[in-house]
Amino acid sequence: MQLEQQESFTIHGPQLEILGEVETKLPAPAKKRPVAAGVLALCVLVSVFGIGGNALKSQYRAVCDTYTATDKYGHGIQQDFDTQADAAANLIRLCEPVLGSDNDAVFSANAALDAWNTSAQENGAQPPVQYAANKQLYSAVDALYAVGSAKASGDAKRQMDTQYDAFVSAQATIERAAAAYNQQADAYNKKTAAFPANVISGLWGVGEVPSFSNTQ
Amino acid sequence: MKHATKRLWAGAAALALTGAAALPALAAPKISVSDTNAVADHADILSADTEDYINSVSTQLQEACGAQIGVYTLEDMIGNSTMEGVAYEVFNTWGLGDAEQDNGVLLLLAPYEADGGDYYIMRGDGLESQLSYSTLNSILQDDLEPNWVKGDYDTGTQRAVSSIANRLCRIYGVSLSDSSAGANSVSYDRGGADLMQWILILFAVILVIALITNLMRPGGWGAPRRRRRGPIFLVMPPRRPRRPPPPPPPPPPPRGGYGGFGAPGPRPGGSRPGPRPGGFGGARPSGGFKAGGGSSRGGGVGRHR
Repeated sequence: MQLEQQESFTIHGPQLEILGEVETKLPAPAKKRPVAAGVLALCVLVSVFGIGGNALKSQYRAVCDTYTATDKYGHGIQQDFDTQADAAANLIRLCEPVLGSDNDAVFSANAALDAWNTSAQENGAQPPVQYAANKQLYSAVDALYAVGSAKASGDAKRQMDTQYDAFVSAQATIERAAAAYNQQADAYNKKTAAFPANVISGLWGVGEVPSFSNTQ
Repeated sequence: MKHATKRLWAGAAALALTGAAALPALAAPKISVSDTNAVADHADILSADTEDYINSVSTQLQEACGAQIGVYTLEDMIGNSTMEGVAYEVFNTWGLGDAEQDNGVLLLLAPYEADGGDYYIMRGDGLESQLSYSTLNSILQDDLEPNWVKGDYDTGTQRAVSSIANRLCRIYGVSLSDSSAGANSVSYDRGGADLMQWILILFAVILVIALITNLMRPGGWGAPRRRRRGPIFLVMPPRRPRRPPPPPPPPPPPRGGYGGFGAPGPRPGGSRPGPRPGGFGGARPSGGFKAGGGSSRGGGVGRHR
């Protein structure tokens, strides 16, 4: 069905009136349609790359912060690392008189603890670096305890048991918290791998969130 | 031929069913807890008295400071998991301890694990800095292990729970006898249960002797006693006529039940888990055990052989 008469209509509204007034005050080149299209395109780019990029950067920081965050009791992954390092040092000191300071297990545990301390000072809380150092420390201290507790008895053994409990308990909570962190990191990295998030993240300098795992 | 084929299919089906039935036994243990019971004895190694004791202690702690102690026993091996991992799942499924203070303690017992069984103790987040590994280790080594190796799970568990409760009372500066339950407090006395039982037995024996004595009197039960003629200086007063027996007392109004853990009725705290024997310890605290929603990050102390 076709309209027999073309009717013209105008839209009224206070917002249009204001825009109309602004338009009248613009210079002549700015009143042209191509200029308006260009301004519109610029607005789109600003919203996508500007606002979107800012949002992406906030998400990046939020994920990274969970790796160093603490709960209401002051517990967190970094605090657990400290507890574990303390327990490792205590266990080494307890095993030395029993096994001898030249014992292989004692030597390996000392080396692993030194490596941990050095990495903490030089790199801070870098997930893949801490992962590697943590694995080495856990392996060495576990072996040390197996040898030391087999030879010790009485109070010495009980003390070793206590320190080992603290060490493995810290490891259990670290792994659990790190698994939750890795989940968030993976979700973020998947999101930013797709277009246009990969472009935006590159422009804003926010790359992949490192995970607590072996990156090699 | 047809019969042989049928037998073959039947055999295959039977084998498949057996295999399917065997599969659940290989899986990690499923967790089943009740939030109105401080004990989940799936291995059936604890007596009713022990369960009563644990519930009583846990309820009193809950009312005094929000802390709770839960005991969970595993009916099977832990499979492809660790004691710490199972304890973590049990603790957070149960929600031991106050939700704001996270001050629960879980004692996990696995009597069917290799090398004489295993156990693990885990505390809530809020107790990490207050209940040290050294303390937990001492409790397990001194209270649980000596009885565990003898297979006396009741004594070991009661002693361990008592020690944990004492530590919690010290941490929060409360005493179970000072709890809001007031006079209805229960204190753990190692010989208490036995003493009460002996007293009851003694009363029963005295009652039986009295009954037998009365029955053996000439004329049987209820026969009037012969008046003794006493010495002259002792004049027996004239016997008063017997009064008719008093009417029976009116029946008591219906009540919600005596004590118990979470008895139904106007008392808060949830439903009664089921009929329980009288047990020891006198009147029970009101309210009943109700898991507080606490959580744990994990970690704890296990058995050292």
